[in-house]
Amino acid sequence: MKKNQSRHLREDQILAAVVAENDLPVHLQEHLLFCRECSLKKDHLSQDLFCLGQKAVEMVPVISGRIRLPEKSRIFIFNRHFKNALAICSTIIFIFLAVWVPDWKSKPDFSKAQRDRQDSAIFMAEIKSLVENALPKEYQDIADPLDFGIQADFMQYIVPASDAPYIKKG
Amino acid sequence: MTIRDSAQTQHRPATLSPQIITLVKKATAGQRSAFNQLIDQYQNAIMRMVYYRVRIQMDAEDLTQEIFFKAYRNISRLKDPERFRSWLFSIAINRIRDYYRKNKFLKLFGALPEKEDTVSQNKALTYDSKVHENLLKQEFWQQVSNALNILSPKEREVFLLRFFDQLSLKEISQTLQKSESTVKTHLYRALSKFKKERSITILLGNGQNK
Repeated sequence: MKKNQSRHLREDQILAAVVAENDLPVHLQEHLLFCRECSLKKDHLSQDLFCLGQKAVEMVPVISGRIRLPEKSRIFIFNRHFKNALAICSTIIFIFLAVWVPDWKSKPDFSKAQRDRQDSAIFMAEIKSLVENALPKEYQDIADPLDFGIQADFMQYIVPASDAPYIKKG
Repeated sequence: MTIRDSAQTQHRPATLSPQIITLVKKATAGQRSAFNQLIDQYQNAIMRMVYYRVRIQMDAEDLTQEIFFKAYRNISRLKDPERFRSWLFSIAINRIRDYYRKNKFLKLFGALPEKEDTVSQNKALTYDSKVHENLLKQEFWQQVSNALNILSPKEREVFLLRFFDQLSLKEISQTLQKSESTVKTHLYRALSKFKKERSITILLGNGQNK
């Protein structure tokens, strides 16, 4: 015991004792238990800190009134559900816009007017090709043009064969 | 009570009484009245805890209220009733962090005056009859601020929780979600810095000679 008492705790060991006395090595714990000087040092520091905490408690203004949970009203519940529903709806709309709108933009417009315009363009291209490459009648019968459901007489009128009588006349 | 006795009492690990644990269990099951009783038990501790960090009474009261509302909304998630105190303090810590983050953001855009607390304190001083008491409080908190400024944020938080909020080391580790050894290290460093500062010695002396 005398050996223990001869070596007092250093300042850092006193601080460590204030933080957690049980974490000190056993011989220091024993020393602290029996050495009045060291234990007083430690207790004074602990007491100072304790008093500081107590003084801080006194320096805090008292809370004005009691805190109470808000009454569970229907409006409150409705508001909570309404907020959730609103959040879900806006998420769905956002996903819908993010996923579907770009798709719509990329797809061609198959409206009736456009389809007609495309058909007309193909038809006119066909006529132009036939006019430029007119064949004798027998060849025209063999090389039947694409069937657009057009009468043969009308086709003959539009694209006459190279050996047609009125062409010869001309 | 001797000095040693009072210090030991203060450092005794705070465990929840069976009565409080019963209330926590009832509140977890959804009993509002039980939670209201818990509010009665802890509202002063939480108010103090918030005030130590915010130093504006009105904001501290508002935050305290928000903390309890948040706790009520989430109490069903609390698994261990014995951890209620540290759980409540962790909610408070997070709410205070949000408060500071929000204030920092508002200050950035000039939406909040730089020294709101000083302004409100001055107003209070002008109209309050207890001018002397207010001056003493103001001086005390100024000294505490100066003392705490030498600590890092983590050391400051641990120090406040230990000696101002009087939480045990275990509760602090649960509140901050850090290991007990980390908490002890921060606390030790904080105390080391404190001992070196002369202003702190005066503050500690004032605390003792209250």
